[in-house]
This record gives sequence, C-alpha cells and structure tokens, in this order.
Amino acid sequence: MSAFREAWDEAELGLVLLREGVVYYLNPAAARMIGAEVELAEGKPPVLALRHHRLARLLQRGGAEDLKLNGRILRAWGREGRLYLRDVSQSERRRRQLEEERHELMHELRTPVAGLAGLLELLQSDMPEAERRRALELARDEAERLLRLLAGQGRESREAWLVSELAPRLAHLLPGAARLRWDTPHPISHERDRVYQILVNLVENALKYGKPPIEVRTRTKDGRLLLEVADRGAPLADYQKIFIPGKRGVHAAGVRGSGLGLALVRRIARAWGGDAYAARVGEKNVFGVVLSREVSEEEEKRAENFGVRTNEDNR
Amino acid sequence: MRKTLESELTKITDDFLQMTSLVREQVQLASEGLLKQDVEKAQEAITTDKRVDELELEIENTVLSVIALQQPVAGDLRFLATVLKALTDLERAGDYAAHVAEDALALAQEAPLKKYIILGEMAERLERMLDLLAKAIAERDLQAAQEILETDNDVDDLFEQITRELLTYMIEDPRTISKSLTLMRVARSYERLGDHLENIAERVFYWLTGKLDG
Repeated sequence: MSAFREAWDEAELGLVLLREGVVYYLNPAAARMIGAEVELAEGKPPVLALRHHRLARLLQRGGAEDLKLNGRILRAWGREGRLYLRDVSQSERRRRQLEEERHELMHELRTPVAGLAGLLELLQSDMPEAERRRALELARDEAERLLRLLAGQGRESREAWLVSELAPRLAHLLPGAARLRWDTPHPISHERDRVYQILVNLVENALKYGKPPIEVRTRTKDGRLLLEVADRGAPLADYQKIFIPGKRGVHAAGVRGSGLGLALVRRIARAWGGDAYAARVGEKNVFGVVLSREVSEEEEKRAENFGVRTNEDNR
Repeated sequence: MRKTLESELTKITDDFLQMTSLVREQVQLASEGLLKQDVEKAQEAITTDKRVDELELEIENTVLSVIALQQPVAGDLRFLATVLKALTDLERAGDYAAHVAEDALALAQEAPLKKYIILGEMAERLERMLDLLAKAIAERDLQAAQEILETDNDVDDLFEQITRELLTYMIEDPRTISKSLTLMRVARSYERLGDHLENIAERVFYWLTGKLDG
C-alpha cells in the first residue's frame, strides 16, 4: 500500500481521497494546485480541506469541471470519493493564443478576398479590353499577395518605391479609397505587401469610422520616416488602448469590425523596429507607423527629385 | 462534551469556508459577466447570492446554539465571536458582488466603453483576498490574514486610478458620462467589497492573537 502512496506522492496529477466524510489523502500535486498544506488538510471535511465548495462537491458527488483557482485553470473530475486535478493553465493559454491567431488570419483574409470578389464581378461586365486586362492584373496581384501572406513570406523590395504606387490597388480593394489625398514623396524600400497591409487597415478604419477628407502622407520626424493616415473624425476617448487586440474605439459601436487591424499594424511596424501610434492633431485623427530607419539628407534630396505623385497620376 | 464542541466547531469552519468559496465564485462570475459581457455568468452571480444569504442564517443559528449549549471559552469563544462578526461582512461582500453583476447586466446591453483592465485587476485582487481568507481560517495562518490587509491597499489604489481615468473620459467626451458613472459604481462596489474582507481579516487576526489591532 505504501508503494501506491509513494507513487501518488510523486505524481503530477492531483489526487484527493475521501473516507467517512473527511479527506484522508491529498497528494502534494493536489495541495500545490489548491494552495493547501497536506498535513493541515488531511483529516478535515472537504470544504475545509479544499477551500472550494465546487471541488468539495466533485469529491463528494462526482462530475467534472474546469475551475479558475489561485491564478491557475484546473481541470477537476471526481467519482466515488476520489477527486483528480490537472493544471491545464498552459494548454489553455496556448489554445487562447491559437484562437487569437485564427481571428487575425480571418481578419487579414476578409478584406482582400472581398476585393477579389469585387474584381471578378467587374470582369463579368462589359468593359474595354485595356481595363479588363488591368482588372485581371490586379486580381492576380491580390491572389499572389494572399498566397504570400498564407506562406508567411514577404516580397523584399530592393529598389526604392513610393507609397502612392499602392493607390490603384487600394482604390480597387476599398470603395471610397479612390478619393484619398496622397502626399507621399519619400521613397521607401520596405516590403510592399507589408506596407500595403498597413495601409489597408489604416485606410479601412478611416473610411469606416472617420470623416473625409482622408489623407495618406509620409513625413520625417527626428530623422525617422513616418507613414500616416489622417481623417477629420471626432476625437477618440483613448488613443492608446485601440492598439490592444479586440479593443475598438468608442465610435466603433454599430460598425462591423474585429478590433484587430491596429494591433496587426503595430505588430508589422514593431517587426521593422518601429512602432504604430495614434494621436489627435488639431482637427484630425492621425494613425501612423514609424518606419525604423534614419533618413539621410541625400535621401531627402532624392525624395524631392522623385516628385509628389498623387492618386490622380496613378489612375 | 469537548468532542461534541470540536465537531461543532469543525462544522462551523467548514460552512464558513463554503460561504467564503461561494462569495469568491460570485466575484469571479460577476467579473466575467462584466469583462466578457456574459449575461449568463452575471445572472448566476446574482442567483448565488441567495445561497450565501441562506448559509449566513444557518451558520449564525449554529454559532448561537453552540454558545448557548456548549459554553465555549478562550480561543473557541473568540473563534465563534469572529465568525459571528465576520458573517455580516461576508454576506455584505456577496451583496456587493451581486451589485457588480447587476451593473454588468446593464453594461452588457451596449458596446463597452473600453477594455476594463483595472476593474479586472480589482476583481483578481479580491479573488486573491478570498483565497487568502480561506487559507487564514483553514490553516490558522496569521501571515495570510496580514496579506489580505496589504492586498486591500492595492484594491484602494486601483480604485483611485480608475476613478481618475473615468473622470478623464467624462470630461473628454460627455457621451460617455452615463456609462462612466455605472463603471464608477462598479469600482465603488469592488472597493467596498475589499473593505469588508479587510474587516474579516482583522477579526481573524483577533481570533488568532487575541489582539484587536490587526
């Protein structure tokens, strides 16, 4: 018998045994999970020993339940005066993390797939050959981007390019994005797909919750390059917490959304060593990212030579 | 005679811990109702309050009958006096958890004003205080009783913090006033709940040491 006791003393699974209305054995794993002392719990009635009426009930009457106790999640199941306990905190945390990632992926796929559906619908209608080819090209680009996104790959850009080059793709994807004001004279060499992902999220938010005119702009501050989307929406109560996954602004009530967009924007910016931010500037709500790189004087000059392209130029 | 008294005292302790555990569950349910807008959990917290009230009466009757019939002295009498006084505080703590659940039901009808991080932290501290209370009573652990008093200071600090935050919300955007006031009431309920647990901890301190200055 003592061999059994020794084995249970070493087990990671918690065990509590009841005899004649009192707890007569509680192994160290169970004591650890409950936060009790073995010596003080043994010989006591169930609630006194376990300090939790649900655990006591499971020990006395059987059944199974998940309980939050002492900052842990315990899976507890009992029958005939026996109670088993397993600490599932870690697996539960992992499960929640996976659930969050699943939501993020859904969020990332929803907008481009809707855009693709729109392009395909457009292709069904009569349209000039040049426009048809352009729509097909955009649809193919979008599908390729989705494939890259699913494969977790980015397309490195070795050459400098202007953010406004993304204007046509954005305009096809998001109704209303055709009226954006672009002021993005600074060439960048960041991954196009990622910058596009940032813009899709920021512009979509501005179209949903903000008010026109909506501007997309790049500017430099303290030697760093900023990419911003500004709109004339009402001030928000909090410009920090909207970056927390699942958290939406006060004005988001009644508008569909998952509250994940800004969290994703921040994640991309941080992967580059920058960050995302939001602020009220005058009459505008400004949402942007700091792209982590120093902007040299030479690059500033190059920006001037690149000239300012507007959405009109890109159509 | 002594054996009967001991078994009665064990039963009272067991029942009191059951009541503590029920109030802890109320706090947890009310908090989940509030943070996750879970109406069912909030309603369960309110229903549980009835069981807490019933237990209070049961324990009170048992304590009075033990005092009358067994004539306990010294530490035993101090313990019974502690339970008798603590019962009222514990029952009030349950009431405050039910108040939070009622407010959670009202708040669940609309989009949340913000992610209620501080209120979540307050609820976590209160759950911890109730765990410590169970430990202090079950194991006659003076340190656990002391820790309850310290944790209540955290609850008070968090209350100050959220009050300031909610005031800022109301000043910045008057549309948030109604929701902010409800949230302020929730924070107030948590703060009062903490005070009742602190009272119990002081009584436990008295039971274990015979001194009243906890």
